[in-house]
Amino acid sequence: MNNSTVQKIIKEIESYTPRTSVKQSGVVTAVGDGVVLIDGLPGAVMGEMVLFDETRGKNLEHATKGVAPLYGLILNLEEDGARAVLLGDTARVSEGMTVESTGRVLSVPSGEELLGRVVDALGNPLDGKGPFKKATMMPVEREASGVIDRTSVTKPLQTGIKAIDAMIPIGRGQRELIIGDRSTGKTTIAIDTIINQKHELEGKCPVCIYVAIGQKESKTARIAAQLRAADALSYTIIVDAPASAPAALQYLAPFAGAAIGEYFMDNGRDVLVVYDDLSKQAVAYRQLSLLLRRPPGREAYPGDVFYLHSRLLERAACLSEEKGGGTLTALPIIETQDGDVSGYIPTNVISITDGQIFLDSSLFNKGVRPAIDVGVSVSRVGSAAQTKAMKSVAGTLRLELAQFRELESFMQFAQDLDKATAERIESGRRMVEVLKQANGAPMPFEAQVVVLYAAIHKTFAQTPIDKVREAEAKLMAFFDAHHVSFLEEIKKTKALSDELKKKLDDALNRFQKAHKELFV
Amino acid sequence: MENNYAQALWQMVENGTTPARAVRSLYEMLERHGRAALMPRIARAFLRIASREQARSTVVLSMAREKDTRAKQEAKRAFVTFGKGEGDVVERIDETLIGGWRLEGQGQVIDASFKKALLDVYNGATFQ
Repeated sequence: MNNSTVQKIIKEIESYTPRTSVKQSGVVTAVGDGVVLIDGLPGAVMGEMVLFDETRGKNLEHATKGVAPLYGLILNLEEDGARAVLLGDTARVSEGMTVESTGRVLSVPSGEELLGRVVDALGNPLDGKGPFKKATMMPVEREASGVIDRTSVTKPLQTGIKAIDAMIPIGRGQRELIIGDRSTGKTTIAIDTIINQKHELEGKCPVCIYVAIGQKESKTARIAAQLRAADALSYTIIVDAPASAPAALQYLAPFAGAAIGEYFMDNGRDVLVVYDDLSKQAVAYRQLSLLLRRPPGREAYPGDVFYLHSRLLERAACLSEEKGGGTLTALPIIETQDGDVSGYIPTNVISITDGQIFLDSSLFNKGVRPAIDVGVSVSRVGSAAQTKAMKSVAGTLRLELAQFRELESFMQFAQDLDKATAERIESGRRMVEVLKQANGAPMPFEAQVVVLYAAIHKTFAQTPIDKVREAEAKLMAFFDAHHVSFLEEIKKTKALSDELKKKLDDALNRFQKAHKELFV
Repeated sequence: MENNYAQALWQMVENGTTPARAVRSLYEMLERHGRAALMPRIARAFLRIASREQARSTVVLSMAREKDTRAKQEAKRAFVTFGKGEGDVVERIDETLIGGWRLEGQGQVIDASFKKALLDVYNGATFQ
């Protein structure tokens, strides 16, 4: 036994006060599929944690075999007992086992210590870096902030993705849904957003929480590695409830993520929580509900599946200055089947959130990445949070792209096009190229402003379409080499004054002269 | 289904119907509905309810040693929580408790055993 363990034991003994309070108890009468039927527990309350007494009849040596105490969560109260979901291995529970109430609701640890760590849905470390020493326990289920405690969303959350920051801006405290079929880049957008937060000014970087629900462990490991490689793990917490985890943990994981985030929000910090994805959480909740014998409704989901998501997403908030001014931004992800956004869960979450980013598989297959369908995507509150600089360059972008999409479909039937239409199509194609972005390469806000300014002022009008992205890269290299102060000024002031615009025009002219090969 | 019939039978007896009359009424009703074959299963369900109710009403005092007078004295003070006198409590010896006492029944438990105290220290040092 090492010295730290001895010290820990001494500390525990010194702080130990015998507790001989009366506790409610019950007996396990049936167990299966992670659900336990308990007889007794007359005073149990919904959402209460119960402790399974595995030590009964065992001597101390056998009772301390290195496994953590086994808890359950009461989810059904019945006439003679209760039904609870197990927060651990079902095989550890047997019929006749005593169950004790704890009088506690489920809580997870949160705090600075968790930054850069990977935890499970109960807050237990999964990365082998040891337990948390100074964590604060936060209740997993908590009432969302009230009307008085909130204020309007005004601060932008830069995703680093040109198409989003320009046309579907997200504000801090907003709930923006990312929706699309499988393999259309939903997680990529979320991860790029997390990575992009490193570009924020000192002290403005939000704490990021990535909640993986029902994902493959390999995918979560890859994401953790990607975040580490991009120096983004230091301000990120990963909550992992993989596909192999019990349904109860997959159901709880988003709430745990929200609880961890609320600690930082309550302390005046900005938080970004990604729920990847809520369709899997809904499936896990459906499984639990059916096992708990709750009446099934549409698509066998229980009647309160809307409340499951609404109470989770309602915890996203932009708190008033009196409450510390913290924010919690939620980016829930929903996977659709064959592009059908009219499914039960997608429509529920669309109606709860403040907008959605719709990813289209046909755009993805055409090579338009991120495959955002601008026509269907919307941000209901984000425009109030958009910076002046971005507003000035992105004002007409959405309309131009929508017109281009219309003309593009019309062009498939038309033989001859007039000059104005042909020019608009050419311009639209270039704009689509400009909005394309590589995976894992979010662009700082000031760089986006420069690129979009150049695009809407026809800087790339003479550039062959297949060279637009090359021209964009060279433009940024040109600005990094010759106009760093200019970029810093945009970053600082977040506005494009007339003077700055003039300087920008001059710089773009110099760039065109320096790279004549790109403009034919 | 048999659980519901057994529950009804239990309530009939609790409400003052004699056991023989209650069983006869139940049997006649089942026969009228062509469900007399359920009777053995109802009997087993009834036994389960009876044993459960008995377990609920029984209060058990567990101690590590038979003549642990100190533990017994301490436990006596807790009898009032369960509304029981000294003679109403079943005493058991559970050596795994190491010392102290544990009182359980009627859906409640008070654990003042040494084993519980040591396990609390162990769990606090190991898992928190």
